[in-house]
Amino acid sequence: MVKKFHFAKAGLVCLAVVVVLGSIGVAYGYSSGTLRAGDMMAMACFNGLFTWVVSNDDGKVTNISPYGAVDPGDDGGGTNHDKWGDQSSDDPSELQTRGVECARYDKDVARTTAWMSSCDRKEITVLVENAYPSYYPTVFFGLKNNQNFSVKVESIDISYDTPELTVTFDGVAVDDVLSSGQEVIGRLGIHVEQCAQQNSTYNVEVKIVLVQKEESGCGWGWWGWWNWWGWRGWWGWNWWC
Amino acid sequence: MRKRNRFARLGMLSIALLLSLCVMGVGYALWTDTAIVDGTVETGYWVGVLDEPVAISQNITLSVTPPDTLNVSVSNAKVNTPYTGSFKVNNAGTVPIKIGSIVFDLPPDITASVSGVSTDDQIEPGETKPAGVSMSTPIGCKSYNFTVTFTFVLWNE
Repeated sequence: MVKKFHFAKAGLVCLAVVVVLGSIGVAYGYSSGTLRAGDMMAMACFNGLFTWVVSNDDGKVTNISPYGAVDPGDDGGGTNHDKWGDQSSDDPSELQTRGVECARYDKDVARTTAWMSSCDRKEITVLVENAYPSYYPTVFFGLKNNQNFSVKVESIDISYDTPELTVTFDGVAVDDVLSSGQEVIGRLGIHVEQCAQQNSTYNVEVKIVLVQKEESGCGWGWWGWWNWWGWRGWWGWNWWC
Repeated sequence: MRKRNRFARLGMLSIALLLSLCVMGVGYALWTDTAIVDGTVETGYWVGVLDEPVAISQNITLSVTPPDTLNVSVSNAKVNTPYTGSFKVNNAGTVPIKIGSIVFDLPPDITASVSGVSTDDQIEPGETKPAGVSMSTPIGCKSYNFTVTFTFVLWNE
């Protein structure tokens, strides 16, 4: 009787271990990595994906370390018309390459601003104002893997179901693998087409789904069967690839 | 009995360990996340408007059919006498425009012209440009009606 009581107790302990380890496992799967010094955000903010975002028509040249000036030419000027003052520049008329000035009109008519959602850094909002046909702003952003494992870009959905816009998106592609801590630079270009209507609103959404990358390569692991084809269960510590 | 119990205990521990590792693995593999770029494009508007028609000569009247057509009437016209009026061209929109064309719809025997503005002139948002219209005819004692229609396009077209 005494021994039976001990085994029941041992079972309970094992169950508790299972639950605790399971919880740790799940929590670990969802965890965000390290908290950087100076971060004062709430717990939900740790797991940011975007690290920075820059518009090339918001009136300021933005330097991002270690890349330098991302949007040269975004100097806040308006040569022959200056609707927005220093909040915008002469309007870009072509897609900009990071670090290289692009062609611009001699008027500051439209404006493009871009910002990250304040807390979770998983969403970027881009607002294009007073646009007109052939206006062509570019938005750059950093997308970083803050996990302590590699992640893969599973899908990218670009939706703008309207012929009035042509959207260019590059820098991040499906099946790209981001190792832990790696950052890639994405680019979004929005070209307003000639058929764009006055006083209208058009929407663009880019959805990037990231998943954990299945690790490949070789390593040691458990291998075996239990009561399979008459074998009485055996395990081995084997080299797997 | 003792040996059996030891094996049972060992088995239970092994299963517990296995299960916990499985759950941990499943939890680890559940990681997925979504990043979104959400863009909104709001267009401005571009509209050229003719405004403030004023007769300068006698016997001439001017009016505007909004937004871009000027109507001119001259009564009892004298031979080879210029009849003039004035009007204004406005950009009532938020985007610069330019004058794409100026088209006259004239009856026979008269000549007409617009002064002050011409094709390809740019007009900034809120800007007003003064303009004039003039006509003459070699045939007197007749009345004439004609129109002048402007088209406006974006300044960068």
